[in-house]
Amino acid sequence: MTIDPRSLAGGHATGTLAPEEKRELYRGALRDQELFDALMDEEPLRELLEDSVARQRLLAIVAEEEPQRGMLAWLASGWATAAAALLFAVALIPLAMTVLDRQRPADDSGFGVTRPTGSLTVVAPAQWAAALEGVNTDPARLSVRTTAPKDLEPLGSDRPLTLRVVPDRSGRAMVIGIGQGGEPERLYPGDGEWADVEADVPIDVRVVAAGRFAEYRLIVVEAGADVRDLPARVAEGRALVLRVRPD
Amino acid sequence: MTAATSGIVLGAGTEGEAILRQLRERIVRFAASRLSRDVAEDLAQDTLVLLTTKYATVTSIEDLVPLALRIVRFKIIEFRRKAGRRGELARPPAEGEDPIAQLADDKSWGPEIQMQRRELADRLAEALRQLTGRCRTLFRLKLEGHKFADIQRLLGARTINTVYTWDLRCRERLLALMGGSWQR
Repeated sequence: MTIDPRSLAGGHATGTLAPEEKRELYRGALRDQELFDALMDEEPLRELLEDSVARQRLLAIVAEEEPQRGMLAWLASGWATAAAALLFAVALIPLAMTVLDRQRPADDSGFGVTRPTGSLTVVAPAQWAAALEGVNTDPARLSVRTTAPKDLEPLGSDRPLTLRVVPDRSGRAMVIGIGQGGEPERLYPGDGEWADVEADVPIDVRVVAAGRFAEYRLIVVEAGADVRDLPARVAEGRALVLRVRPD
Repeated sequence: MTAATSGIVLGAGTEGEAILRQLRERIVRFAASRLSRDVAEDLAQDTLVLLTTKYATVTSIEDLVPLALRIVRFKIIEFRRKAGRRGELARPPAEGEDPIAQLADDKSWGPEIQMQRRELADRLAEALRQLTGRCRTLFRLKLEGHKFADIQRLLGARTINTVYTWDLRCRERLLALMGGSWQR
C-alpha cells in the first residue's frame, strides 16, 4: 500500500502513528523540505500535547457535545425540502407519484403515502419499508435505492431499525433522524460527518430505539461536493433529500 | 558511530550516514528560513554532534527524526535567548545536562516560552470548540491515544487511507481555525 507521507503529518504531534507509519512520515520529511518544516512548526503543539494536564483539558473540550451546526438545523427545519419542492415539484411529481402508486400497499395499515413535497417524499410505515426498494428518486443525476428487511419493527416502537441504502452512483451521504420535537440527530455515518458512498455498495443505517424519531432524512450529494452550500444545492437540485416517516 | 538496533547503522557509507546527511540539509534549510544561513549551519552542526554523541544509541529513523526536531527546537530557543531578541526565553542547559530532558522540564522554560505555551493551549482550545463532526471525533480519538488503525475500526472507514485523508483535511481545518499557524 502506498502512503502519502504528508497525510500522516497529523498523527505526529498527537502520537497517533504506528511504527511503520512513523517510518513513512519521517522518510518523507527527509525528502520533502515542506513536510519537514511542517513537522518543525508543529513542535510546540507536540510539546503541549505531551503534557498530560493540557491534553486532558483539550480532550474535555472535544468530548463536549458540539453546538448544533447551522446546516443540520437547516436540514431539520424542513426548509431543505421546501426549497427543493419549489423547484422540483412540477418536474418530479409525475415520477414520484408513479413510484409511490406502485408502492401503495393493497391493505391499508393506517399509514399512507402523501404527496411529495421535495425531490421525493415517502411516508411509509416501517413494516413495508421494503417497498422502498427500487425507488429511483431523482432524475437529476442523483439517485438511491433503499431497501430494508421485511421484519422491521414499526416506527414509534423502541425496537431497533435498520435501513439499507444503495446509492446508484458514488457520492456523499448523511442520514439524520428528526426527533418528535423536530430536533435532528445524525445517524449515519457514526461520526456525524458526511460519508463517501460508492455506487452499488450498500450502507446500513442502524437506528437504536427507532421510536425516538418522527422522521428520517437521507441527504445525498455528488462525490466531492462541497457541502457547505447545501441549502443552495438543494434549491438547485444538486442534492437529494429522501424523507421517510410514519403518517 | 555505533551499530544500530533496528537495521540502520550510523557510520560512513551507511544508510545512517545518508539519513544524517538528509537531516542536516533539512535542518539547515529550515533554520535558514527562520534565522540566518550562518546560524543555520551552526545549529545543524550542533544538532548532528548531539545526535552522534549523546544520542548515538538512537538510530532508528522513527526515533532519530523526532529527536532531531526536538533538538533543533531547543537550539532555536537557545539561540534566541542568547541573541536576546525576545528577552529571557529559557534557561541554558547546565554543563552535561541533557537538553531534551531539560525541554521536558517545565521549570526550565522561561516566562516568555511558558506564556507562548499557554497562548497556544488557549488558541487550540478555542479552535477545538469550533471543530465539528468527523474532525472533532477524530481529534478526540487521537487525544484518547488511539492509533490510526483503531480509528479506522471505530469510525468504520473502509481503508486506512481514508482515515489518513480525513485526518489530513481535519488538520488543515484545525490549522485554518487557528489562523493558519500553530504559533503566532
